[in-house]
Amino acid sequence: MNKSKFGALGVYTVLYLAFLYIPVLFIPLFSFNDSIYIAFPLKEFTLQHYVDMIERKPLINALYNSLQVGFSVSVISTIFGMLAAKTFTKYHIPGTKPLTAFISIPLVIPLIILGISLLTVLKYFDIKLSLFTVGAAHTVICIPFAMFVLISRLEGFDKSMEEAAQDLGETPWITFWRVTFPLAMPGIIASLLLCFTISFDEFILAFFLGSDQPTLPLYMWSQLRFPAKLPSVLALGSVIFLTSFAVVCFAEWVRRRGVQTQTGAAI
Amino acid sequence: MSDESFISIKNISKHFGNVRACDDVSFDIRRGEFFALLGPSGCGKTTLLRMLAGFEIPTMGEIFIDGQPMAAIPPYERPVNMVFQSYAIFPHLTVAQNIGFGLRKDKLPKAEMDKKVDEALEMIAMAGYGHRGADELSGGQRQRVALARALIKKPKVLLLDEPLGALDKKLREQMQLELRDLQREVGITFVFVTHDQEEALTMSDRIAVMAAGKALEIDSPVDLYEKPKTPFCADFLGTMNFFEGSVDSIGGGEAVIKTAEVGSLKSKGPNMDFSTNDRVMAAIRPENIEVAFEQPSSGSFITGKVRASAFLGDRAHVYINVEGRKDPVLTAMQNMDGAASQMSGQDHTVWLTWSDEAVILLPQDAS
Amino acid sequence: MTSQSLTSDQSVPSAPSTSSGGGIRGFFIRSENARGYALLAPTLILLFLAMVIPVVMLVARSFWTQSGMVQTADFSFVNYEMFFAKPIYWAVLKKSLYISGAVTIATLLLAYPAAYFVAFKVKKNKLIWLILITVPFWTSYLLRVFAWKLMLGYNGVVNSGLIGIGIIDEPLGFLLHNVNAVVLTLAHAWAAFAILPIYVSLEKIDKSLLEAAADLGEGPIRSFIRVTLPLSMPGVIAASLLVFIPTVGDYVTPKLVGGSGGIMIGNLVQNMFGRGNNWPMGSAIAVVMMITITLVVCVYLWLISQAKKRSS
Repeated sequence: MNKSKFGALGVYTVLYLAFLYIPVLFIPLFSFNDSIYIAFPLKEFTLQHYVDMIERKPLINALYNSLQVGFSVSVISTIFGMLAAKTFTKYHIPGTKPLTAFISIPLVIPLIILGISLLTVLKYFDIKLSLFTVGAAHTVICIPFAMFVLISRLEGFDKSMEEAAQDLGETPWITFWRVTFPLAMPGIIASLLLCFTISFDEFILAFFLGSDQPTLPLYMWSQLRFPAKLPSVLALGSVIFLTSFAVVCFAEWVRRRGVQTQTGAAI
Repeated sequence: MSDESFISIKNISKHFGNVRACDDVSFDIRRGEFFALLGPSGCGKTTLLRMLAGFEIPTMGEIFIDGQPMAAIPPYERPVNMVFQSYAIFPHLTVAQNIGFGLRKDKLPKAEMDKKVDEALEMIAMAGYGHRGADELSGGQRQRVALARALIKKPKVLLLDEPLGALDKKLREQMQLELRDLQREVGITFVFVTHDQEEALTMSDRIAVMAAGKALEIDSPVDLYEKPKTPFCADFLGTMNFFEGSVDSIGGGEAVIKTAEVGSLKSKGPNMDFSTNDRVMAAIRPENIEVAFEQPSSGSFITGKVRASAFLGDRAHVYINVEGRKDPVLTAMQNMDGAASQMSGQDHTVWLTWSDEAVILLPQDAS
Repeated sequence: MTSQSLTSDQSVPSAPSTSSGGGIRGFFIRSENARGYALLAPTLILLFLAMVIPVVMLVARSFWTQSGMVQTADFSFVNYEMFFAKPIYWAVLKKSLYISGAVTIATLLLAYPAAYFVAFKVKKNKLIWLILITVPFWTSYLLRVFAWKLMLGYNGVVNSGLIGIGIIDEPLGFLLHNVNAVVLTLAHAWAAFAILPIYVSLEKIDKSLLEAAADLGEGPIRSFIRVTLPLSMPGVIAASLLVFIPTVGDYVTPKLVGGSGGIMIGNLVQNMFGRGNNWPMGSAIAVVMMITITLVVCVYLWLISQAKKRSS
């Protein structure tokens, strides 16, 4: 009786996973199909769409733009996220709850609101749209992610580690670099990778705040209008999908492994 | 600065919101002393230790170490080092790196630093363990590494927060002796926190007994045990039989106490600071009560019946019901030549006697 | 002198004044809170500059007016009057709320059993299940939506596949470009935002509580309703907010798979900031949308607190 229940729920979960994956997996599938129509039956296997993709100069430029933004955003958000995470794990300041909620607002605010708000400000102060403005917007939405990843890491290790370092004569600043930073490393790596992925995939903010230097999703959007270019967009999508997949798996693995060795050592 | 008040704690209070962790605590600690802060959990002893280390800031009052006020001195500039309850061994560093952690600031040449670390490893009998990772150490080894890491800094004061709490009983007893020897060897003032009264009695030169944020008594282990001044200390260190009563007569190093439960008690104990009709507690240690199976021919005694006995191997605790008294009187006897086995039966009638010197007078608690 | 006595008076009222304890350094050493706020300040300032001020300016701009290419910074309610005068705005807003509500319910119903399965039935390799469930979420949002366009299109994967195996002769026209396509796509795109909070709250439940319920004679279904479900409510509530609020403002999904019937309020906003080129009007629509979302969320949370009171 119990066994059959396990089975029913398990079957459901597998079906649900199929629902989550199948639409996305058609993208790589048709990226290898030798036809410009995205329809069954499948034709010959081909890598031509990938060759087309690599030969497109604007696409490579867009990739370069996305990497630039992604790297900067991941580093800057992780720094700000670390400051916040450090505050909330180390000090019990009055107002911790509302302050955490405030920093989490970007998680729930509709991105279109954030996008047009920032656009309004930039226009008002006559600031030109650029990769920089896209990066600033991405930083805002990445900070809460970075903060929560780092909080869970910082809560994972003994608070007296830092006190011990100070007790042995190190200032809080040096203590951070000699003790906190190495201990928080798995969390920091996870945060960098997650923020990078968020920025790398983000479309809505880039749409409003981007300039004539498009990021990858913006470039993709611009190509969707031309059916003839669709297969190479699929090729690009597959590459992005695979990269994100690898990066996220790696981030999760690093983060959770860190938690495990930590608790293992404490026992 | 005199050696008598090497560490001076003056009117220290610490409030966490509405909780008074420490409440107007004042006492001095001597140079080179092994000093214990003893009390039940929540009594404020750890908070006080953390204020000495600089991790908590007193709400009121001041702390001086070697004549220097500590108020504006952050933890990393204080002449104290600490052994944490969790030991806080850095998991990302080796044993040698842990021990040498605090030497970075001295900017020693590498060879000299290695030599110091090696000496420290030898001191804790862990030579050759330098390259081990922190996660390869046993509990006792972690404790030693934490000790070496703090002592290598040659602090004026070493603070220890329940240093033996994480160890099992056998190892704890061994480490008690080792710690004691180590302290004599290095001559550094040790201040340690414990909730274990036996540990405090074994190890320290003096003990401050704390309860509810206050330091109730500060004295040597022997005096605290034999001449307690408060019912709390008398009860917390060891066990005690209390008899409520009032002073009938007092003078010339003698007092007679009238009790409702066992009639009059004569005392030639240490505290004679009472006047007639004061409400007092007459207190007698279990081991000072002698149990006889026949009525003594002279002196004062009370009669009772054996209610239960707890056999503890080397000694036995015997609970004796006395008419007119709710709680049984607790007595302790050495299990010499199987004496305890005589007590195993119930409802024996016995006679309890004690010397007048064993009767200690204590003020009744305000509560 | 005055500043020195001030700082020492604040935190060490009865202490004999210590000359070394004054100054800014002494203040930070003594005040935990000051150090905490100082550490948090950069993040708060950044979010204030890049989030709070922009939203305030958006609200301000919604009171401007625009005629032709010229924007006037005079305070006026013109845009709001326009919003309530033209039924199309209200209609689209209501439809957006309806779509997001449907998406939220669908996502929760679909995600709960999967989260339950991973939390209670999976014993080994939970991590792999969690990664499997969340990974589609980390891939490009645009791609996920686009994938459904490919799936449901007139000459798309589903139609061509069904024709290929001979179930239908003609492509089905009702798959794409309607409200249902939008709901389906969003329920897919936001799945992880529902699964994770629910999973976390289920995982937190003390398993011995369920055993206690069974021990007290509750059947599995009743103990689910009386123990598991109420205890997982915080996760369900968080999930519903995390899905509902952002989807109301979505415009990419409606644009790609919604057709003319699936237009949402986000499309109107985007249009005003794009081709329509009427930023003040766009801002006003956005403000009405924000206020509506806030009201809906408040009513929702109030209803939940009422339900809680009644049950206890």
